[in-house]
Formats: sequence, C-alpha cells, structure tokens
Amino acid sequence: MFPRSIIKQTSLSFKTISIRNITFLNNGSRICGIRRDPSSYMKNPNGLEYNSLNKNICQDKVRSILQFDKFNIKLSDEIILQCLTHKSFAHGKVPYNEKLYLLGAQFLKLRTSIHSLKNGNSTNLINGMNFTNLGNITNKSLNSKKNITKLIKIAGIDDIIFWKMRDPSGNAKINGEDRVIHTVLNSLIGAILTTNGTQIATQYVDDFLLNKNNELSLINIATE
Amino acid sequence: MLLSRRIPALCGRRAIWNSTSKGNNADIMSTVRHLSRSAVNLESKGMKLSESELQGYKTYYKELQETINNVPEEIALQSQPLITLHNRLELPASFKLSILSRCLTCRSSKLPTFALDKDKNNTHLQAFPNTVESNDLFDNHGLNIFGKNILGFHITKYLLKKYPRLPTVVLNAAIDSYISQDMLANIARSWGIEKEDTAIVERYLLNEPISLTLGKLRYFNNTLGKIDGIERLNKGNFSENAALALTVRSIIAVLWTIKPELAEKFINKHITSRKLDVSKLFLFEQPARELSKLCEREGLEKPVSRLTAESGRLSKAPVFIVGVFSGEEKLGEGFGSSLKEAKARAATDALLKWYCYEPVLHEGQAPIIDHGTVIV
Amino acid sequence: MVVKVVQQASIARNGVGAFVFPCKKITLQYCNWGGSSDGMRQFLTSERLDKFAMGNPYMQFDVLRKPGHPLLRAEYTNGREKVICVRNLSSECIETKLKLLRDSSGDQLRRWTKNDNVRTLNSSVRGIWSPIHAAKQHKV
Repeated sequence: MFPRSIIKQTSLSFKTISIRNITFLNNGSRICGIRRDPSSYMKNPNGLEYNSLNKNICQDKVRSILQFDKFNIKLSDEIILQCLTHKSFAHGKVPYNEKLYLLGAQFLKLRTSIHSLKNGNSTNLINGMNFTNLGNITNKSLNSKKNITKLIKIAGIDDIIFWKMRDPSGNAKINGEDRVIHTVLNSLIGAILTTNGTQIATQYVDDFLLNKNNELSLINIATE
Repeated sequence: MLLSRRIPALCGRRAIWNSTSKGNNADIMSTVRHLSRSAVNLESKGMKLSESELQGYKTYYKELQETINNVPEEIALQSQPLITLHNRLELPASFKLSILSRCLTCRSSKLPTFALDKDKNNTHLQAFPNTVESNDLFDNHGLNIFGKNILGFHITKYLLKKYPRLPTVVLNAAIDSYISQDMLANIARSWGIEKEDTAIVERYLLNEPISLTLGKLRYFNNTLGKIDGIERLNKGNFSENAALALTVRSIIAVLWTIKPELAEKFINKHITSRKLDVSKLFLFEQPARELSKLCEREGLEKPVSRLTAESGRLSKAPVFIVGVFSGEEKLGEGFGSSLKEAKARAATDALLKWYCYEPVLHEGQAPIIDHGTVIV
Repeated sequence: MVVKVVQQASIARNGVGAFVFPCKKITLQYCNWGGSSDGMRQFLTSERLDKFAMGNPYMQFDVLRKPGHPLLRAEYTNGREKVICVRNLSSECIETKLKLLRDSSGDQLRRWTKNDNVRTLNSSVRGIWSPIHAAKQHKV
C-alpha cells in the first residue's frame, strides 16, 4: 500500500532573526561593484537637492507660473514633485512621471486637434467642425516636443526638473534635453486630469495653454 | 426619428438590377472579364466598346466621381448597404448617411511613378479600377486623424484607471491590443464592412446603381503582397487593414462631433468591451531580483521564498509549492517540479499581483497615481 | 528593463458591449420559368418579404433572377456564407428557412459534447481544487 499522507506542510510561523548590515558607500568617482552614496546622485543637473527641497522655489513656483489657483487646480506637493522627476533620475527609486506623461500627452494631442477643428476656415464642415486642416504642420507644431520645451524654458521651470544627464559634459542634443523637459508639462496635465477631473483639465488646456491672449500659451510660442 | 422610420422601408425595397441584364449570362461575364482587365486603357483605345457605349461609360464614371466626392443625402438614402450598416451599428439619426459614406472613402494614394508625372491633370492614366480618385476635401483623412486622437486618449485613460500600476511597456502593449490597426480592421470586419472589389466598368455593364458603391469601403490598394517580393511601396500606402481601420476611426470622430459623450459610449461598447487579460502580457526575465528591488523601494522587508508544501520529492513527478514572504506577509505563491521553478513562479505571481492591481475606488476617494515601474 | 511584453490580441465578445447583428445580407434567388420556384415566386409576390424586411432593418435583401432551383444565400459578418436550396418549398417553409438563416451567427455548426455546457473566456471564480491547498479533512 502507498502511504496515504505524502504531503508535508511546513509551519507558517517564523522566527525573526535580526541581521546587521554594514555597507561602504562610495562618494568619489565611480567604482564598479561599490554602492554610491545617495547624496551624490540625489540632485538635479542644476545642483538642487531632492531630499532637502524648498517648497517655495519648487512646487509653489510651478503653481504660480502655470496659474493653477486661477483655474482652481489642486495638486499636492508630492504629485508636482513626481511630475518634475524624470525616469532617469536616481535610477527610478523615487516616483517619476512616465505614465502621467503618457496620459497628459494623449490629452493635449486631443485638445489641440479639437482646437484646430473649431478654428479652421473652410466651407466643408461636418456638424460645424472643420476636418480639412487636421494633420498640417501648424497643427502638429502646437504640441511638438520643441514647442513644449520652449514653453517650459520661458516659464523658467526647466532648472527645477530632476533628471540625469547622459553625458554631463555633452550638449543638449546628446543628453536629450528636449525629450526630458517636454515630459514635465504633459505629466502636469496628466496629473490634473487624474486628480481634478476632465472638466478642470479641459478648461485649463483650452483657456491657458491654447489661449491666444495668454502670453504663456502654446499658440503664441509656436508662432514666435 | 424620421430616419429610423424611413430606413426599414428602404431595406424592403429590393435591388433588381441583376435581373435587368439581358441575354446569355455567361456570355456577358466573359466580356466583362475581358473589359475589366483592360479597364485602364479603355479610354485611350476604346476598342471593345462601341462609340455610344463608351460615351455611356464616360457619363457613368463622371456621375460616380461627382457622387463620391460630395455625397448627396438623397442618393445615400437609396443605398441599402449604407443603411443596414447604419442600423447595425445603431448610430444616431443625426449621423447622416452621406457622412457615413464619407467615412468609407479613403484618400487615394498614388503610385510613385504617377506622382512624378509632370502633368498632374493627366488623371486617366492612373490605375483606379474599383473607385475614382478621391477629392481631398471629401475623404476620411482628417476624420481619421481626429478619431485616432480620441481613441488613443480614451483607451489610455481607461487602462490607467483600471490598472494604475501597469509598466509602460505593458501599458503600450495593452493599448495596442485594443486599437492597433489590425484590431480595428477586425472590428470593422465584424461590423460587416465590405470593400468595393468590382471594377467600375463591370458595374457599368451590369447597370448597377451608383448608390450601392456608397456603402462599400473605397480605397486604392497599392501594397504588394509578400509573393511579389516587396511589401511596401511608399509611405502613403494602403492595405486592406489600413483602410478598414481608417473607417473605424472616422466613425468615432464623426460621433464626437455630434456629441463627445456619444463617441465615448461607442468606444466603451465596441472596443473596451473586448476581452483582454493583462497578466498574459507580462514576461519577466528576473522575477526574484525585480521583486526584491520592489520591496526595497516600497519599504517592505526583504522577500524570502519558503517551501510550504511538497509531494514526491524523490519520484519522477515531484511538486513543490513555494510561497514568497516579506516578513509575515505572503506576497505570492508558485508551484513547480523543482524548487527553482517554484521559486521563480512565486516571485512572478507576487509581481503580477502588484502590477495588475485593480483598485476599487469609492466616491470621494483620491485616485491612485502610480510611482512608476521598478528599474533593475 | 526586466519586464518584457508578449503581444496579445483582445478578443471580441459580441453582445457584451454592443451587439452587432451577424447576418448582413440575404439574397433570394428565383427562376421565372422553373416549377421548383413556384413557392419562391409566391413568396416574392406576396407582402411577406416586405414585412420580413421591415422587421429586420439590420439586413440587406437582394432578389436575383437566375435559371435553376431557387436559393437563399445569407452572408454573415464573420465572412462566411450559408446557402439553402428551397426548391419545391411552399412560401411558409421559405419563410422559416429565412428565419433560420437570420438567426444563425454564421459559424459552422458543431456538435458540442454533453458536458461541454459552459464555454467562457473568464477564469473560474472558485479556482481549481488542489489537494495541497485543501482543508485537512478533505485531503487525500
């Protein structure tokens, strides 16, 4: 006969053993296999420390320049900081903006195309919308990488973005500066969309970013 | 309301064009086949057709071109394929049939040799056997771009709300599995959209009313199959799948212009209702390593794998059950016929539980904003 | 990156969100001379087809005159076609056949085995019984 019980069940309560670890943190030039001191990489190209961040120069600056209060947008400090952090920073250990960027970019693309639908000059309309000038260069340039980067640079937010340069001595093109910087605005839009709802986000994009009368709008920057 | 009452009556109207062709059927078919082959050169040679018939064909062609390039609603109302498509999709009455027909007109891409031709008005040289050259103002080009934007945004929003922690690569793959070109083409086929595959001259000889072609997908296929050795001709190429996807996107764009909520509802009904198991999209290379990094980032205790049950260790079919624990918390469990396999499965299970997390949000609860994928 | 992707396709579930009527077109073929088309001719000249078409706005109806036995040819959204020969059938029988074609999904007919009653894309809610995880008294 085979034994009827062939399964061993181990007990599920464990003893906790306290372990002490001593790790040497390297502060100087890079040595393979040795851990780096976090303080040496937790700062942005501008030298701004991530851990001892002053709220006034970072989050409040973003809020005032991009006029969040005017549109009744409430974003917490943590989320704004997340939007300002690129994936390259601190090896992805701190919250970064990659997915907020994806959502925000899609939303901005949709709103800019709606903008051009409503502001075309053609006689051939479908339900009052003008579809013939979609996909032309002026429409595409509105939410282009270059244009958004320009907006952020004019707003002066580019020096509080947390990212890591690929080559600190190299130029902007090698480092992909445009690519990193343009994620910030898109991810802020994404964050507004998720936390404040579609209505406020729509209002913000239409009345602030796509408003001809606003100095800091994508339209004015694209036509410059 | 008016439209919905009129449509069934029109469906009942029977097409009897086939019965009008006189004489021996087989005889006509052979002529037609011959003519369709030489359809392009028809006008220059005019060999097989008598002078009056050629004139008739010219009028038919011109009428077709005028109709397609600015569809009048009266003619669209006579097109049974168009009406039945409208009904099948349960589109609102304010979605005009002429606009639905416009969604089915794709911008005709040109063959590179013809594009280089100096005389651009010389259109009769171009090979459009099944449809006429489209007018840029009355095709679905702009509608398609807008529809793509709407779809991209809605699907991204839907997925991020449902699975806030999906890694970006997986998120993109999930978006693709809903709205990639081939998927949209599948959806269009399931709606019963047919392509126009008879030559114009053939239709002329059969005396087919122009309204019938309005309900069919009109595009110019300039892709070469794999048999030809080359797959892609130039940038603006059209395959059947591309043309079908254009139609789906355009229909969504038109719905948006009627009312934005309608488009969203339509996307939910036809696209997000499809089944997708996101956990099947993942492929982990080093699950245990990634899990320990994740625990480190989230401030959890280091994950430890423990054997919880086993059977037949010395037999030919052993089974091990391994649980992965962080402190007293069990993160995941896996089985395997070796300890190593079970351990990897347990770590994968724990990671899937983290990444495929679906929050149940109540009223007034803050939405979840994910911190990002773990980078190893 | 450690996470890689296996591309999957989403699976259509007609009726979960929207229901798209599977039968898109029915062609009624008859002969003006043959005796086998008697019922079909009667069916076409009566008001029956008009009524049927009114009740089914999702479908297109074509009438085709062609020598030979009368046929009903239905086209479905899955790209398949079903043809029924209706020679010598009365107009009532033709209508039943028409309904049969209308109600079909267009898939090939299959014989499902007796215990294959539930077919689903979703995984089981209760999970699969495992001897290792079962409570003690149910263990083998």
